[in-house]
Amino acid sequence: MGKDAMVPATMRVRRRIQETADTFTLELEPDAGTFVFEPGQFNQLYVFGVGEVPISISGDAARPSVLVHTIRDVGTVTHALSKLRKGDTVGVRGPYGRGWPMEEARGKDVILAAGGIGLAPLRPSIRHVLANRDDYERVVIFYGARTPEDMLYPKELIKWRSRLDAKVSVTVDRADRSWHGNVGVITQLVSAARTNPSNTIAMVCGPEIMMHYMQIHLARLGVPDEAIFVSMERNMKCAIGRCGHCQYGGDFICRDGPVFAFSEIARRFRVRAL
Amino acid sequence: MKTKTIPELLRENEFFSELPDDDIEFIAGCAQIAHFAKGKFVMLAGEPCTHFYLVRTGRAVVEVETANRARVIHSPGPGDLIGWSWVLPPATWRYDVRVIEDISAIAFDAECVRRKCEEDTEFGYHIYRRILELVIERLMATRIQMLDMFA
Ligand SMILES: Cc1cc2nc3c(=O)[nH]c(=O)nc-3n(C[C@H](O)[C@H](O)[C@H](O)COP(=O)(O)OP(=O)(O)OC[C@H]3O[C@@H](n4cnc5c(N)ncnc54)[C@H](O)[C@@H]3O)c2cc1C
Ligand code: FES
Repeated sequence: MGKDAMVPATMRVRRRIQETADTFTLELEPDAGTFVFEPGQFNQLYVFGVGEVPISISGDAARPSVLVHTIRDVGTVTHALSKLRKGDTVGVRGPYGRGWPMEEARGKDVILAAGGIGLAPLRPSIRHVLANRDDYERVVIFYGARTPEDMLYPKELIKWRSRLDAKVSVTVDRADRSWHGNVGVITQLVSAARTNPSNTIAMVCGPEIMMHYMQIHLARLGVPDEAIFVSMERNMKCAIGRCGHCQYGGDFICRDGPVFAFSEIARRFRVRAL
Repeated sequence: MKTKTIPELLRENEFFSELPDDDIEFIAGCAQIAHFAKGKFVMLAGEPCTHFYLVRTGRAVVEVETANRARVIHSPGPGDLIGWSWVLPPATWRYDVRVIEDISAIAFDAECVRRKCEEDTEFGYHIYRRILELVIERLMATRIQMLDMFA
């Protein structure tokens, strides 16, 4: 791999959308006109003079003329990204990593389950599945957020819910009286999936603790670990499998992941210090 | 379309599905169809547990009043059982359960079911086991909720 792999392209912010109190979306203009990626892949976003962070691509793989990232402001670099406005520039390296198993899911029932900011990395695959609906059998989408105010993409969720060819359930961990939807943890939605467990692919994205409990509930339905896919996060540096910063057991998350079948990582999943 | 009888409705629910026909018929004798309009309360904290409910359609919310603010902690809907404090008398409800979408439910006379559980221990074992499963499920869910995992 040449030196170029480490040099970011410079892209301009076309639009910034405040999604929730701490989460925002940046729509970038690809420097080459288009930016081709697969659902589940990520980019390294570089704020000049501040630093670089891995962020999943959350836009539409069928619309490569705009590059979309949804970011939660949690620390130094993500905070600097939150300050960018229309016309500002950002460094972009990518796309990197192995994405969601879209091909493997063809002809099967598909469960797409996201928690919190996890809806951003999963949105490209949800859009892909809904746009190519005939390629899949039953489609079930679960989304869990902390409160109604923390829900990402509420308008798009309403659009998905209005479809008759997908079951979409949304829940929040807590709410006040103004919320008329489900209250309770996302794992409780799983029993209503009604998919054929031996012909199901589940794609799960959220905090590790959520993915851990989702796997338990999916396994109870009879979905095997080989058919449960999760997206892992670790700190990264090179993002091209060179530095070892993102090592996870025998794998590098940037190169071998971030999406893994649960069966590939079951033995190290949620093992402390890994 | 023919309306389903209470035994038919019970057989469709996971909670009762493993009960033999005789027991389904018996428990159906302790039950009747009930309706609650949006805004009404299915139960109120402090009231005695005279009935428990299996939701057919609609949805309610389980609320706790904290510092003059109602906080919703759970929202039972179709297929869910509302209320289990009745298993250990004398019991009163711990939470308010308010209807947010008109509810049609099967209402069980708690005393009638409890008496049967005591007289017929095999039946009682089955019912208490199912209740225990529900309680464990809720406990797990509450623990996950407490982790505040999306914070
Ligand atoms: C493959 C991959 C894809 C990702 N996709 C996205 C995405 O689409 N959107 C997004 O917002 N983030 C995403 N992340 C997470 C993102 O990379 C981190 O939030 C970011 O690196 C934090 O850097 P920082 O400089 O802002 O925070 P730092 O200054 O490094 O950290 C500040 C504080 O935030 C905490 N922190 C660090 N990372 C996280 C985290 N992930 N969640 C909560 N707290 C954290 C740290 O422990 C520390 O206390 C992804 C990560 C990976 C590996
Ligand atoms: S970040 Fe360098 S090997 Fe993955």
